Parts: sequence; C-alpha cells; structure tokens
Amino acid sequence: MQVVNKHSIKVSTDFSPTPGARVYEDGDDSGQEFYDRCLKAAFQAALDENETLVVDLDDTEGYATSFLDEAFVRLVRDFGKDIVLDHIEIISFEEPDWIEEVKSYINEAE
Amino acid sequence: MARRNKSKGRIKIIQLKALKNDRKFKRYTKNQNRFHRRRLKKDKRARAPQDANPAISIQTIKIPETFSISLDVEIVLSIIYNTKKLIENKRFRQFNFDLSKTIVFDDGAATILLALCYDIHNQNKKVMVKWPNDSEAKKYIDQIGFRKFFQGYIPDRDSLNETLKKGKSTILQRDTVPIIHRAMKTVFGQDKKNQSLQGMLIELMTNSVNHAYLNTRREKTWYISTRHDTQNKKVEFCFVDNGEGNTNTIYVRMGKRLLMTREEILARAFDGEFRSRTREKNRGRGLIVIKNNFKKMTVRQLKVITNDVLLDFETGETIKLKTPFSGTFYSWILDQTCK
Repeated sequence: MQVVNKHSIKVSTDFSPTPGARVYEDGDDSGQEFYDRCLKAAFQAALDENETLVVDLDDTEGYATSFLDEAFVRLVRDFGKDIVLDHIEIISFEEPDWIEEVKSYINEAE
Repeated sequence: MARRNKSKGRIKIIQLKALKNDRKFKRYTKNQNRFHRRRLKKDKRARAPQDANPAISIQTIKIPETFSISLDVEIVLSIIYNTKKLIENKRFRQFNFDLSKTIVFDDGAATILLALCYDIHNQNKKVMVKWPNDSEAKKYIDQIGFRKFFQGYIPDRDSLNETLKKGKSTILQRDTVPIIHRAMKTVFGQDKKNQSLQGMLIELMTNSVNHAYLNTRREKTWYISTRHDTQNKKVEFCFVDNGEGNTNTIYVRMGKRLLMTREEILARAFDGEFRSRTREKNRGRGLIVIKNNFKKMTVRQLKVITNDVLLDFETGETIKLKTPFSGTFYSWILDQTCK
C-alpha cells in the first residue's frame, strides 16, 4: 500500500509551472514569493506535527539556481539548518541533480 | 489739536506701512514675473530643435557586404561601437542603416543590430533602414523576420523564427517557454520542455537585469532571437544586452585587486571565480550554470562576446578583439546531438 505524505507541496501545481528568479523585484513567481506563499507555511505545518515536508520539483518548465537558493536559504534563516535538514525531502525525478543542489544551498546557508 | 495731530500721524504711519507692504508685494511679484519669464525662455529653448539643419542631425551608417559575427566579428563590432558613440551625441536624431550593399548577413549580427535599433528608438530617435539590393540577402532578412520591426511590413504569422523577444528590467520566464517548445519541436519533432535550457535563459535574463547595467537610470533591456533550420533540424539562439559587459562589471566590482587580463577574467568568471557582489556563498551561480549546460551538451557551439573578449566554449579559446562591445552577446545552437 502506498503511503501518501499529507505534508507535501508540488511547485508546478501549488505555485507555478514557470518559476522565476530570486526576489519579487526580479519579476513574477520568484523564489521569495514561493517561500512566502507556499514553503514557509507548509514547512511550519509539517514541523508542528513533527513530520517531513516533501517538496516535489518535477513538472515545471525549469529552474534558475537563484529561485531554489532564495526559497531554501530563507527557510534555513527562519527555522535553522538542522531542523530544515531533518524535516525536508526533495523529489526531482526529471533533474536528479537538483536534490543535491538544494541540499548544498541548505548546508551553505548562513 | 494735539490729539488730532497724533491721530493724523498714526494714519500717516499706517498709510506708509501699507505703501511699503504694497511695494514689497509688487517687488515680489515683479521678481516672480522675471523668474517666470526666464523659465519660459528656457522651456522655449528646450523645445526648439537643437539643430535646424537636418543634414547634420541625420546619420547614415553604411553596412558592408559581409555583416556576420561568424565571418568577420571585428567589422560588426566596429560598426556597433561607432554607432553607439554617435547615439550619445544629442545632436543626432535620426539613424539610417544602409544595407543596400549587404550580401552576407547572419543571426548574431542581425540580433545585435536590432537590439541597437531598439535602443536608438528608446531614446526617442528615429531609425530607418535601406534594404539590401541583393535578392538572396533580402530573402534572408525576410526569413529571420528582421523587417517586421520597421514600417510597412506585414509579419509572416506562420514563421517559426522569433526574431526578437525584448525584456525591460524584468525576467520573463513565461515568454521563453513557447520559444523553447518550438525549438524542441524543430529539433526533436516533439513539442516539449527543456528544463536545462529554460534555466539557462532565466540565468541570462537575470544577469542582464541585475548586473549588466551599472547605470541604474538606463532601461535594462535584453533580447532573444531564434532561427529555425528545419532542414538540418537545428535552431540557432542569440541573446544580447547593451549593458556594460561582463568583464567591465567584474572590474568595477572587484576594483584594483584584479591583476589579470580581460580574457582571463571572462574565462574564470564562468568557473565561478568572481561570484556575487554580496559575497554570499550561494549567490552568483548563473555563469557556472551556463558553462555546465555546455558541458552537459544541453547546447552546442556556445560563444560569448563581451567588451573586447570573445570566448568560444567549443574550442576553449579566448580571443582579444580590437573593437570593444559594450554589452554581452551569447550565441549557441540546439541540434540533435544535444541532450
């Protein structure tokens, strides 16, 4: 039986199929907007129930490094590196490199 | 009597004060009028044509027989460089590009020239073009959709070629989606996405908007063009901005600490040596992503021209150019060998 995680967000459907760049000033659907609108609240909800948040990066048109960096670095700044690493799971079947890339952003965040 | 004199004196004082006030007011209004008149004169001068002689205010730029980035980059850059110098001169209000003798033309040169035409237009100056006499050159110009930007031309709606997509101070990632889908259909026969290419285009747009223009008052524009070669299943991409150029912005950011040539700077910039101006670890990955896309074979024949350096990723060569290009130009192809 497949266990469905109730704490999950899919960027393409929950946010935008065409994610943009870093901050609001850069244009629509930025990493900052994704954090403010989706990621922060979803992570908080998962954390409150001591569960893992699954972030699905598939089915978008593509990402800029700045988009992912901004969203996940903000998460580390607000919740702390260790908590984020313990409570997040990244899915990316289309571009598996993104999983390690996002983890490196989290690890390098100050 | 004494009382009457006293009251008369008071009246006189009041009258004098009133007169004085009146004069003050009159003087003030006079000055104000003078100031107003001066301002009117100034406005009139500003509105008046700066140069009454049209022969001086119009500049004709003759485009040579071969106007191609791949065949003679120096000629293209020298024309662009000299024209940009002329644009800075407020006296010149119209630019005529004479292509009548042009026979060989390529996408790179066309994109740079069109981007320049847009910049001239943005500065409220007129642009006119004299089309090539050579029938083949004329056909090519029609094919790439160059003429649709000028008066009296009806664009071909079925054309796959995206001659120019223009962005103003913002990243338009939604607009690049159909460009990529069309390119994928030409090359692989399927209308599908290419995440790596989309990521690369967002990085290019971000670089242009956030870093290329040091003078923040200028309109931050970038341009993308594509040409579909359906026979050979190949699409050529060009991306250009008329900013300061990569090496110039790195020089400004790093100051005197840089003791290396521009060729070295550009080559190292794509390896991530000069990252972000904010010096945060995670920032400034854009150029690395562009190089990685070439390494992963997402794109082929990637070339960059910025300031006085040409970097050819295919051969790994950096060439010092005689004429600088103020801005950054990228060209690459998407073909069936791409992954």
